[in-house]
Formats: sequence, structure tokens, C-alpha cells
Amino acid sequence: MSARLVLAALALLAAGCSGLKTYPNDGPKNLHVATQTDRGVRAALHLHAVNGECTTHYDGTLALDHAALDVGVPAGRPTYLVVSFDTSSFMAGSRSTSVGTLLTPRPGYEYQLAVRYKQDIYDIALREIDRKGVSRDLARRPLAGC
Amino acid sequence: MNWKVLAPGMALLAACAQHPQNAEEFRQYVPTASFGKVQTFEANRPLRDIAKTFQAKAPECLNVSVRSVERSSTSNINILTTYKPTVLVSEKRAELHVQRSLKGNVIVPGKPPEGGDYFLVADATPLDRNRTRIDIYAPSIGANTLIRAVTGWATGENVGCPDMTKS
Repeated sequence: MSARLVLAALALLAAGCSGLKTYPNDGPKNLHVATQTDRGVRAALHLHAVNGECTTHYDGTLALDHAALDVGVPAGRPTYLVVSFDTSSFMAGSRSTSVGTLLTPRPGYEYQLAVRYKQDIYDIALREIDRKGVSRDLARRPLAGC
Repeated sequence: MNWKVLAPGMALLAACAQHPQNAEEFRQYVPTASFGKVQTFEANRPLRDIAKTFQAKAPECLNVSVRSVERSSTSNINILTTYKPTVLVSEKRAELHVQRSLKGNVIVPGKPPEGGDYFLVADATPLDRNRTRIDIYAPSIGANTLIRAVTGWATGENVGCPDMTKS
């Protein structure tokens, strides 16, 4: 077996064991994600449905490996969005940090999520845009306040 | 005994030989410490704006815990570092205090203050209506990311959160 095949098999095994699954992303695209990261930083968006008792159900993950990504988030119910940043190096090992916010998309509204990780400083900014194109910043909402 | 196990313990023993019990003691301690650093600069923003930024960003970014795990055939390190930010604002001054406590297989000699050892103190004092002096007291090693973030909050040029896994 070639080294490449072994590597591919290991990667598949690792993906299968990570507990992550791909978010179906088959709804109307109302969340537009713009990502800027340093080279070597792997960003991902994890979506969790939130029910009335503030418990979460993991819906899936999308890699933020392109500058722009359109996502369909169900309108009318809260979703907990978590952005994770993973870095790894030979000397420092693997490190992961994440930040989350609650979003309840309104029908007919669009949302922009700006994700940034530069020189070990990260930021996410969420904006809501109404049908007339008027936008407003949405403060980060922790899951505890759902 | 493996040096990989001993070295972090010895470094901690050296670092924690003294525990400043409050922010004022930390301000006195840092300039005299081997691995302490005081940075001073002017920010072209009014004190009240900087205070607002500290009040918004500190709880958002610094109420975090970081778990460090290293397992190998010769070592097993598992440490949980918990950070605690405090912001004090008056008409004449805004202060940001960051404390941190360590739990896990780590020995911390002496008695740390409530909330953990002081890790960083940043003071903002007005120079005039639109300019503010910033003094940051912190370790010279291992706090660069946090210092850059606090500098960005003070100047208003970057209000992102520091990746505390890098501090």
C-alpha cells in the first residue's frame, strides 16, 4: 500500500472518529460568511439547533476554508453558531479555540457573519440586513441567555 | 526523573515564589521581576471610550479556561488554566485586571490571591480630553497575545479577542 493511501485511510479514520458531521446546508441561504484567517489556521462553523429548554442538538459543521460561504440557517428558531479556530505546529502541538453566538433568523432577513483570525487575535461580527437593505450589528449572545 | 516533567515545575516554582495579593502589589512587583515588563503608550481616545471597550471586551474575551494536555512516554501534563478579568472604572482611571489560576497536575507553592495570580494589569489615565496614557504590567514572556489585544482595545484599532491558547 502506498504512503498516500495509508495517509488517506488515516485521514478518513480521523474524520470518522472526530464526531463531526457535515452540515446538510440545504435550506435557503440566509447567512453569508466572510472568512479571513492566517495561513495554517483552520476555521469551521458548527451549527446547533436550540430547543425551548435551551438544550442543543448538533446539526453539523462546515469548513470555513474559502473567503465566502453561504449557509442556510432555519428561520424562526434559535441556532447556536460556534466558530472554531484550529492551529497546529510541530513545536506547539494542536490548539483550538472557539466562540459562539445565538441567532434566531427572521424570515426574509439576511445575515452576514464576518470571521477573522489574524496573528492570534480573533473576531466574529454578525449583522442583520432587512428587506430594504438596512443593516444593524447583532451583539454576541451566549447560549446561557437563550 | 525526566527534565520535561521537572522544567515546568521549576519554572512555576520560580514564577510563583511571590504572589502579589492585589493589583497594586502586582504593579510594584512587575518592574522588579526578572520576567516582568511595563509598557507605556498614549492612545488617541478619551478615557471613557477606552473604559467602555474594556467593559465590553474583557468579559466577552477573557472569561475563559484553557486546558493544556501533553502526553508522551515520559510525561503526562494536564493543566486547566482559568482566567478572571475585572474592570474598575472611575472618573479618573480605568483599570483592567486579569488573574489566572492553574488546576491539574501542577504544584503552585504559596498562597495565590482569591481569583488566581495576577497575570496582567492595564491602567488607563487621561492626559487630556482626547488622549489617554496606558500602562500595561505583565510578564515579558507568555503574555504577548493578551498584551497585543489589550493594546488594540485601548487604541480602538483592533477589538478582537486574544486566542488565550497562545498566551
